[in-house]
Amino acid sequence: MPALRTLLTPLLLVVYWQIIAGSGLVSNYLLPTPMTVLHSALAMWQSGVLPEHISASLTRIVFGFSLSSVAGLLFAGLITRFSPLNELLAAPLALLRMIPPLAMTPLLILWLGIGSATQYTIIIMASFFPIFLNARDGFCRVTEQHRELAHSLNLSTWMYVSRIVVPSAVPSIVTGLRLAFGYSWRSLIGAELIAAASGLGYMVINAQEMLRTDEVFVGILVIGIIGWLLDALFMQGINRLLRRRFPEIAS
Amino acid sequence: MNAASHPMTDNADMTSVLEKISKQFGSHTVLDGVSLSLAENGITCLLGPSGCGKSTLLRIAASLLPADGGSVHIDPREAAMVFQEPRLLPWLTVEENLSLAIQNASPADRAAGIRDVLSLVELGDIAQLLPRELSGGMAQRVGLARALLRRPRFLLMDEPFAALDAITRAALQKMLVALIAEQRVTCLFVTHDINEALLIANHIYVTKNGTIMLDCASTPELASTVPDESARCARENVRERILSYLQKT
Repeated sequence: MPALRTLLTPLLLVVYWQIIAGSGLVSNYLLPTPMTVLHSALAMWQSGVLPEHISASLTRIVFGFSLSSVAGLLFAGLITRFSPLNELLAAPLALLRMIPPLAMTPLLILWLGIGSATQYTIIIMASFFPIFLNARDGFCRVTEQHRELAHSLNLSTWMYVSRIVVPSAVPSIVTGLRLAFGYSWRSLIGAELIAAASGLGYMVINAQEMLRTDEVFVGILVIGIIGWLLDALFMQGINRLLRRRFPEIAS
Repeated sequence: MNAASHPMTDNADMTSVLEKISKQFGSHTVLDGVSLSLAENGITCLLGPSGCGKSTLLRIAASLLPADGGSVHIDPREAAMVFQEPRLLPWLTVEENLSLAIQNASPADRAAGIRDVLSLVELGDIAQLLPRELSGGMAQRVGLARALLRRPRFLLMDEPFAALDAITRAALQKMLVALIAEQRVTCLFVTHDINEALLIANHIYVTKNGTIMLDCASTPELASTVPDESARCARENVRERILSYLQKT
């Protein structure tokens, strides 16, 4: 039943779309019907165009996001451990954080071309800060009681970090990863619209140039559906992995 | 009266652990030159009303808080602390929580140690449970087991049964007395409950206003664990002494 309820609103929107597009009030060039879009999607899938662009975007997001996650978590750990580093890097990090990743695209094209390096850089720029800032915040959330406990048990640094500091930060880390994933997916598509020769963003801009509004719709819907599915998969994985030990995340 | 000047501290069965400890928080003096000796292989209760500095004194004894003056004669490696709340890490199972106390042991020794200590505190097959799956009494037993696993010479307990219901508290008090005698540990037990102190202690110090006001010697009345009439009468006498001291000061 909850799954049905989740799907009810999208289904109603499709019905509404069909009514408007089929009424003849709006040109089919501007608003193709859902059936036209569905047929285009099937044709693009069968021709291999859609799988190719989906695969290109997914490969970039998986590698880019993994790289960004590792870098964000490690950097947060380093800055928490060595506080002078925090003071040294506070200003440049605050400055970088305020620059939208897409604003860097012209420069990145000049430096790295329109290949995957540019896309990876944009994914990292989009997702690094939510991961880094949330993890840093989480690492500082060790309670005084737990610090005292570690002291009274004479825990080694490794045990203190692995059994107390990192688990204390898990809720913040999960929030950061989830936020960062959304940011990086949207930025990747944005970057592919501007500077790429493959990927869902490129597919959308290419379809627009060919005046294929139906294919533009296919691209936009696929981007949304894949983003939604990946987020749902991520949360399902997190729930399965952490539900018992961190029920507050699962709820 | 300061414990250091009491004849009991010269007794061979007493160990001096704190000497002339003083502590201030801002301009407020919490402890003013407090000295303390503990009954060897027994339970010494530090009794006093809330806010009198007894927990501060215990935390200083456990090296969790630095003193402003005086000296502590407890090696932190020889001491284990049981806190007011069980203080188990909620994301670790009972077994994982306990293994923190014996991090350097081999996996086989660790498993055997955990099994033994769980049976010592009368807990069955709970090693794989998480702290939130335990009752308050069970969690506090695990906290005690974690402290005992370190094989401490000094066991420092900060009102560990205060949050428990009366029935569970009575069971744990009884178990603690038996465990201390069996394990031969020197225990400093902080409480604000006169009945609890009378029930479990071999020796009682009453604190008020940052100093030790009354030192109730351990023999013969408090040392007895036999629930006979003479022990009961002796405890009543001590209770009267403590109450009259607290009312006078």
